[in-house]
Amino acid sequence: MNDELQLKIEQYVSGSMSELEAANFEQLMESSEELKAAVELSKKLNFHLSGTVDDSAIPKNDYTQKLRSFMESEEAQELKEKLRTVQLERRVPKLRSKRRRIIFVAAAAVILFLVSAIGMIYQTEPGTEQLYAQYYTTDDLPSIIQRGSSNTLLEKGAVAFQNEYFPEALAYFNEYEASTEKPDIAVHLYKGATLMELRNYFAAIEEFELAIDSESIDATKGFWFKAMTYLKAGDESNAKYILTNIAEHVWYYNHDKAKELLEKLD
Amino acid sequence: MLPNTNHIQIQKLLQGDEDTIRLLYDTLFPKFASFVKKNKGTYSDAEETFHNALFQLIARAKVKGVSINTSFEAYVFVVCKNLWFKELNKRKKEVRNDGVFELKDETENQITAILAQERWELFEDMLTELSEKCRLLLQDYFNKVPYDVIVKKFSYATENAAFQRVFKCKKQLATLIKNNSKYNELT
Repeated sequence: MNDELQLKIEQYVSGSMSELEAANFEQLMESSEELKAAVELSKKLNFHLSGTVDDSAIPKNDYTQKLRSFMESEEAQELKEKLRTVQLERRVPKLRSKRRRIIFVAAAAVILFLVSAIGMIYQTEPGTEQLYAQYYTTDDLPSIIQRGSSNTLLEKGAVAFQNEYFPEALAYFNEYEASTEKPDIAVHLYKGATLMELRNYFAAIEEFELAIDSESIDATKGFWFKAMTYLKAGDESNAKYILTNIAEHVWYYNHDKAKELLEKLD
Repeated sequence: MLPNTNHIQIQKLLQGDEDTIRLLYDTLFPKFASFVKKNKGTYSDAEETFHNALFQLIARAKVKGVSINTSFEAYVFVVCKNLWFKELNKRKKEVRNDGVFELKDETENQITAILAQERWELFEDMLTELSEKCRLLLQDYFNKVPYDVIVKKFSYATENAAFQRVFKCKKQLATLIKNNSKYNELT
């Protein structure tokens, strides 16, 4: 297609032709499928580049036919049903009226004020969450990427974890565990840390216990991460219990840090 | 055998894995709901759009496979966002047409949305094949940046020279798209 015709397409699509010119151009389009397709593409490009939504008609081809067949299948209906079920299960309960909402917001504000006021009076030491923020670091996790493997599920999970794509990381770790009989202990530590980030504390503790039960050199890291999980969850007494255990064993990972942390908690 | 899906979470969605769906609702949906609320929508709009986006993703993955080169969360978020803009556009049209609008059945709506998303992905992909200057020029032109500003910014001699350049960049993009095998099944 030459530049002159392409320029006419632009003028037609942008609406800058006179009525007569446009009518002549449309006549030309009627006789050329190639021209018609070029005009369509130019319109679509304009939609895309200007951020407008393109609602073109559905073409009749094998792909759209297959999509239609699938969408009308029982399998698709079942999947849709599953999506709906989870949606309902995860729905945030709504407050019934505007008045209740106002009461709720006012009550929350009062509670927040009281908690902060009491905190200001009594809290001279940093809280568990602050200590967690101070002591938790992903540098304590074993390095997977430098172990010579490339592009494994475990490594992909570690990369997703480092990029803070936690659900994605969790999916990789689960898949890795399902694919091997003897998983690397690192998966328990990474999976636990991922679950902790997702605030699924019970599951995180379970993973760290699996790490502790292993005979790996990194096993005692499990204690440290368990303590971090309790700190993040605001469970001071369990955090102290685990930290005391670390402080009593000089060879446990982060022994000195545990002693230091205990002092701050006491 | 599953079609070409390069992402573990898409495979899980295809299998109807409820834990994967739950995770999406727990981590991604709140972000999307907040986006919709900031863009003329409600919580229910967000729920409906999120549900449809996931279903459309499953259908695509089942029939053709979905290959993504970003994080799964980021990808789903873009799909949801585009679907919400499509819905807003539809609502705007309904208002303009004084409530008269074309009724399509649900399946047809879903297929239209899938094709629109696939075209969007293809066009975005092809845009990356252009030179950076071309890409930025097209972006400015279609964002209605005045010609005199474009002339200065890209150091063209005249407004006509700028227009000729826009024209050439768009032509180049059109050729790339036309020559891509994916385009045929989307039109």
